[in-house]
Amino acid sequence: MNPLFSLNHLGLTAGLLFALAGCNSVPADALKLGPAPMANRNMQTRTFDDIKEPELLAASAGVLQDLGFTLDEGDSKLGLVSASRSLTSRRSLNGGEVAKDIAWAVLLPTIRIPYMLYDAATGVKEPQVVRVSLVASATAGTAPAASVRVTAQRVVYKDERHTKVTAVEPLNDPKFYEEFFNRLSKSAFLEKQKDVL
Amino acid sequence: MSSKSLLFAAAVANVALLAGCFTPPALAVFDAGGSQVQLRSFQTRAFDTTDREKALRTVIATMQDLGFVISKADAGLGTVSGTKLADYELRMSVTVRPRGNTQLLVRANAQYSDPRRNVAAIAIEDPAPYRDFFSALSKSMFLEAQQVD
Repeated sequence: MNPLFSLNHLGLTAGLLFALAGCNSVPADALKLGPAPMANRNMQTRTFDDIKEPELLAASAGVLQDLGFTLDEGDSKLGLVSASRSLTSRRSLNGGEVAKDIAWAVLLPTIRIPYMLYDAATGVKEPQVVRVSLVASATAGTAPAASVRVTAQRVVYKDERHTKVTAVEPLNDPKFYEEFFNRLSKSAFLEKQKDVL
Repeated sequence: MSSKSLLFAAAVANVALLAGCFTPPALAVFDAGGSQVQLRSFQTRAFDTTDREKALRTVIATMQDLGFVISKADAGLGTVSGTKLADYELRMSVTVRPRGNTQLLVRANAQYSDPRRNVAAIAIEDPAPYRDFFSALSKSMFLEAQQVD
């Protein structure tokens, strides 16, 4: 066989495979329930006694505002608030921002533990956009109680202009949810004492 | 067939396949590919309930179970949309509307993309992911998801 021909042939076959792969690369399990949906649901959900659904939603939104998120959308009838926050890398931080960023660093997943303290002091290492949705619902029963479920994800960029995406992933670190709910417990308590900040 | 014509045929097949992925933008918005009726039936199920708000809340809960962050919802319009990030990006919107006096019609449509590899969004037209979604939804609704023709 002519070696040039086999080389051409190889290139075309690769191109053919590439074209096919480009069209059909939806993962098979994209909309399949995971093996343990309850574990995630429990980690992401917290129930509070003696509070109504709208109050709990407002308190949760307040925690996100404390953390520097902007609230993007909401629907009070369905108990939804969605919010996002961009984190820039290595920017110099002014007073108020430092406190927020240190609080935020506690919430970030601990994939790069050695960098954590450094990141807290100098801003996060990689620019990223974090998106969160809060869904509140009244729990069935005689006593007033409501639960809220939080899901969070982030897009990590290589550069400040967000031209190259390096990671798109859910935030699945239990610490993130624990810390969020700790803050929410305080905020939910405050929400009940109407006249405070 | 000579080796040259074979090569030519393969090159034409490549171009044709790539053309399938990259539709010219102007009218591409009307080109959902495949059969419209078939796609609609993949994406739609009927449920024996008329409680629209509860159905929307169940859609939201199911999407959260599947790893979505909900970006928008509108009880009046009966829509929910969200994004799932798991090394790829999946954007899905779901509508819930009445069907006759006894049923609700739920329709989902989703787009897949891979931002890390610059793979642009493509509409999901394979029935399997929608089947999985309705199977999960049906469990949370405690109702059977009925195929609609």
